[in-house]
Amino acid sequence: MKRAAAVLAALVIVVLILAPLRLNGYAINLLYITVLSIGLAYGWNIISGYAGYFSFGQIAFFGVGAYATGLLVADLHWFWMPAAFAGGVLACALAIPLGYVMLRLRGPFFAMGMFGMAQMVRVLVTAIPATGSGSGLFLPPGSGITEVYYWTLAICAGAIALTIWIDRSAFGLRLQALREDEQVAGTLGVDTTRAKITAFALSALIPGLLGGGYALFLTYIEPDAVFSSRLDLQSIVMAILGGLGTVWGPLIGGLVMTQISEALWARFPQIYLMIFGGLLVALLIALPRGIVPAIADRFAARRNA
Amino acid sequence: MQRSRFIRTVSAAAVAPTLATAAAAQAQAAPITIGASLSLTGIFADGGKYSLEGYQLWIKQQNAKGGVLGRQIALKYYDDQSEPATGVRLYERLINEDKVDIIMGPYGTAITAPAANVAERYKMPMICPETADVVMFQRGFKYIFQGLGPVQTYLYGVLQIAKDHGLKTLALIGPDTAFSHALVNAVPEVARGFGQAIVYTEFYPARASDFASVIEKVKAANPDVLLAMAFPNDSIGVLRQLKQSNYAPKIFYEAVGASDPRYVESAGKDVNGVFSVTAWDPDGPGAENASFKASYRAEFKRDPDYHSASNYSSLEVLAAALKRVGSLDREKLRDAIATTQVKTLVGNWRVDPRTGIQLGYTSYILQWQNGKQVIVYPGNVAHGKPIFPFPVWSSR
Repeated sequence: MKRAAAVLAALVIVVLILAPLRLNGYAINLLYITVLSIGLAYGWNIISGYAGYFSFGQIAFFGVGAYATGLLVADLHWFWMPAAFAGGVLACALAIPLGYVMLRLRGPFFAMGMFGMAQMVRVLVTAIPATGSGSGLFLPPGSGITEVYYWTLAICAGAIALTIWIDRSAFGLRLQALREDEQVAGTLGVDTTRAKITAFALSALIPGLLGGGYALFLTYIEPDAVFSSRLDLQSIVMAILGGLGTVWGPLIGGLVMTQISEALWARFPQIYLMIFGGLLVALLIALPRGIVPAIADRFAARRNA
Repeated sequence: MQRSRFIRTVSAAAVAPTLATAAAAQAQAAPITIGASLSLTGIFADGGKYSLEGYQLWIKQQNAKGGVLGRQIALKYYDDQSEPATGVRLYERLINEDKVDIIMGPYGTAITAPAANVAERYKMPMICPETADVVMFQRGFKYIFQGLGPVQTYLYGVLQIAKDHGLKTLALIGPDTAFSHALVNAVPEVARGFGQAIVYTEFYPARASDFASVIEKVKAANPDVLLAMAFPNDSIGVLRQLKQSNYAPKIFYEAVGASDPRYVESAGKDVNGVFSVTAWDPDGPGAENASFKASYRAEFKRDPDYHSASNYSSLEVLAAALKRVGSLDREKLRDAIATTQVKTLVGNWRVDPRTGIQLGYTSYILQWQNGKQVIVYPGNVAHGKPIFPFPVWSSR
């Protein structure tokens, strides 16, 4: 069983690495957006799935990463990969003080607070004159989608590896303890502040690193495009659909959602969002905890039978 | 589509043997497919729908006349939902999956800018009928062409009228979108030439619906001229707020929202005196203009706005270039678009062959007078004199 899974994983990785050699621009584009959304869903899953702090503002770190990369590439003529890396580090560094303040809020107050915080970060970032504010920022054209795709694939793989580690580590147990009951976790000796700020910073690092690639992909960024509430919501729905706080939830949820969405929009351009919304509601009613826990339950039931 | 082609082929073959060879050959040749991504939902949907209808009308008329290069024209389009990343993906799809022969530009700066990159990468010439912003044409790209007069032309006329009346101070407001920023950024250069100063600038959120505070701040700055770079949805809101705040600057200009013919339907008599800008003179001379308006109304049950005319005209340019080339060779087509000079519905097409920046087209300043749009600038094409000043609300 374990060996089969390892072989399958290796196979998938090889296919994904070789994919650009055989695919046309549209297919790579689609693959890129899929991997990007899955990566964002993994980022969100750490703070919101494992630690139980539901955030509606992680896209702020994506935007920070995108703009930092844009400025480093356009104004300081950095090569884009180190620039995108710097963008991720900056987003992560920014998350530490922000997390220190924001994570004092709990439940719906944290969710709303993060929504507001994302707006604030957006305003602050675009207040920097060099970002061109609402006029947007042009990046030099050149790096093709293939490079951006590999970058995004690597980060997404890293995010999955990180999640596997969290799922098995004492750190992960601490996060789950504070998700279930933060006060009890505290009395049991868990340094809750430190654990949740670490989770928050990791949940900022991943979108921060992905944002730089996205800036290169668009070659023109403006606030609406990178502080995109659509990308934010999409990644949240993916993680929930797949299964909150599970290792494979964001991946499965992401694959299911992008496949359904892509199959629908070209065929039913007028009513696709309606069908899509309906399907999503139906899926979540049928599988309230998400796809992965539902499958796990099924397996567990069979083993016990 | 399949069926009508079948019927046409059969009837051509059956009815007249003498015509059969030519007609059958024409009916059998595959159509030339033009691909475009357009904003049919989301914040740019108002203009995006006019754009689509402009494309559709021209294609229908041209097909009735026998198409281009003896082939019919087909349009393949998708809705990009006003999202740049979706626009990029759709052009990739149009080029790689749908294998369209030619691509045409989407709606607005935010989507055209990244889409231009795709056009450049595949060396597909792309006329952009909806980008007044010039920045993306200054990046060394070879395959994109501007199909609207540059942003400066949107401002020159209204500021000239302001100067004629000795007005000195300007306030600029607009939604926080790329296009409205482009317009605001173009003001200082034009205003300096007229000795005018900007006393207030503010961008409100792109989907704002409450303009009370921004108008109060404008009122406090007390400018002679208020330029609102608003889209159709917010332009109505800004006008209503002026009335509620009982505020009337001497000149009130709303680009480009107030150029939508439906503006009067939502705002009624309050529209009188509002200035706006259009890339197309709806009451211009010439049979082509009259027939365009009549067929548009017959086809879509509403009046065209300048987006319709601009997209329609871009296909006229494309057809002229294709005729010169005689084939679908992309390199030759690129050169032909860059060097063709042709009269279209919206003006005389001429671009800088190096950058693709529009040199021939200009813009017209219009004013709402008695519920109708009247071109008031430039003088040689004006159909009326501007009403000045913007009437105070108590006198209406």
